[in-house]
Amino acid sequence: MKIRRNIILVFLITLGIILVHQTFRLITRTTSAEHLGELTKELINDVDKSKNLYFLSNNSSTHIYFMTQFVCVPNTLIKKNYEEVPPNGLILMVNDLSYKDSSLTLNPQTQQTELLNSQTNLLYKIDLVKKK
Amino acid sequence: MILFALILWTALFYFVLDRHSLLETWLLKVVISFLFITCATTFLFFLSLVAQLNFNLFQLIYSAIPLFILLYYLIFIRSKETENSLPLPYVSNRGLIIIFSSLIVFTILFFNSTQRWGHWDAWAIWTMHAKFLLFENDFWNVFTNDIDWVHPDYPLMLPSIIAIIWKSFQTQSAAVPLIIAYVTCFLILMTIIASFIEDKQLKKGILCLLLLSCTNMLSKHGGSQYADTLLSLFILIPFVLIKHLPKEGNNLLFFLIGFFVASSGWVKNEGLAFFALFSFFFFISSFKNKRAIIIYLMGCIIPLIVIGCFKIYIAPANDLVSGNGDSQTIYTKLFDINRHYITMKYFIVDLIIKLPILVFLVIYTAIKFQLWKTLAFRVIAFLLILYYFVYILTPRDLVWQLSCSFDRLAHQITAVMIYTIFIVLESNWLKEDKSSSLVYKIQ
Repeated sequence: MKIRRNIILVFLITLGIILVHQTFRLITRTTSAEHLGELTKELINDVDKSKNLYFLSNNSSTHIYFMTQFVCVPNTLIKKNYEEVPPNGLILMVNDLSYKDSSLTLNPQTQQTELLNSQTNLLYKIDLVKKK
Repeated sequence: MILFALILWTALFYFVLDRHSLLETWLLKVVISFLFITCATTFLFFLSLVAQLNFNLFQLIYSAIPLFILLYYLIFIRSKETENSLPLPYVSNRGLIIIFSSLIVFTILFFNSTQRWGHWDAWAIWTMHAKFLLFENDFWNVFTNDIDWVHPDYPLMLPSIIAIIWKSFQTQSAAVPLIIAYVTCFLILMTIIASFIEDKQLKKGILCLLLLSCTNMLSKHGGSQYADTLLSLFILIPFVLIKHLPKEGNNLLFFLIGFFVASSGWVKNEGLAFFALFSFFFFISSFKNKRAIIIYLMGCIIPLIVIGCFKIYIAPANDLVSGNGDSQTIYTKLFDINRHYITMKYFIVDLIIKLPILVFLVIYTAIKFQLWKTLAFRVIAFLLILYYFVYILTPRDLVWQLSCSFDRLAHQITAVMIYTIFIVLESNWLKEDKSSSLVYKIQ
């Protein structure tokens, strides 16, 4: 009975160590979700939660769009061309700084937008603008 | 608080299962109780969201009820203790070491195959839905075709489990979906080994466990944090319960079979196809036993009401149903030889390449042990045929759809097929030897 108890104890301790170590290893890693999240948290804090946001980025990959939606919940983020965004629509302009081929420019449309807020970190620069 | 409530409810249901079913193995009863309670909790959570009930109030009520019932029930059980003295199953020390070692190996494999927030669809669909469910007033935002790539029509069991724990701990930690994915895989392994222990077939159980835990069959997709592993568990459980049905039947087990089969539609849309096929074969096999069919249907009622409310009143139409702008007619697709060739190629080549052991075992047991006579084989075979026609008719690009989802469909049925194969597998080598140290003993 004592051997049995020791087997169970060794198993539980080993499993516990693996679980804690591996979970800690994984959750301390930062992904683009965390980098985008720290910026959007500040940007859309005051935006009405039921309001649609529009998404523009210099990086056309779906990954960055999906990730930005992931961190913007419960607001919905709709990917549209600038021309299709309705007047007074709020636009999140995500500039992927690691994406060096192009930079997000809204010129000449910048004249038609109002910058509400802007946040930057090492990887991204995000502007919240309102289309006039 | 919600974990406390889950434990209380599980303990309570364990006593009910202990009293009203003929299952002996405590592990199997714990797994089934836990799964039943978790599933019921997601229904209640979803209904509380729709009713805009405050989550703290929901937690309080949900924890208080089992506490009082459990206290009453424990007193009741104690008074009946002497009447109920069924022997407990016993696994030898060597058997225990092998089981524990395989679980450790599985844990390492699982964590090697996973990542923070899981693979693409895990965060883009399942965890995303969970995030929406955190907002009592704004979770409706997800049910729009403006962001149809998050698949707003997908059922909400996995997102609900994640959201309940997040809300309870007031966090949005990536550890929660990760641990849920791990626990789901762990429950699959526990269900299988417990079922074989219940069946006094420990050697088979250990072999089955080794095959699932020490290869990448379960860990590869389990680590993705998709809902397919949860569906795999919900497909497995009804067959395990059927395996342990006594000849004279058991009302509680019939009810649970109905409940789990219907609840699989709350995990993924494929679960609804499984529900339809399983019910069809269940009705055929039990058409003389009206009591079984009625109780089975009673078990289906609550899950079907919740799924029905969700599908009819909340979720937008599925892309397969709505057509998603696809111009090709059903008729054209059905008779397009090229589509059949591509799909068939995937079904055969992909299965052989990715799951060679499963394919070999299916062929071997089909030839030697008439695997096709089992209910599981028939249901799964027809499920695959159904999936085949879903691919033929998909409004999306066929090759893309196959490359994205076929291995997940295979993953959904792997556990139940391996389990069924080992159930029918018989050889001298596998026969339980009472002198063996691995033997299942009754103390």
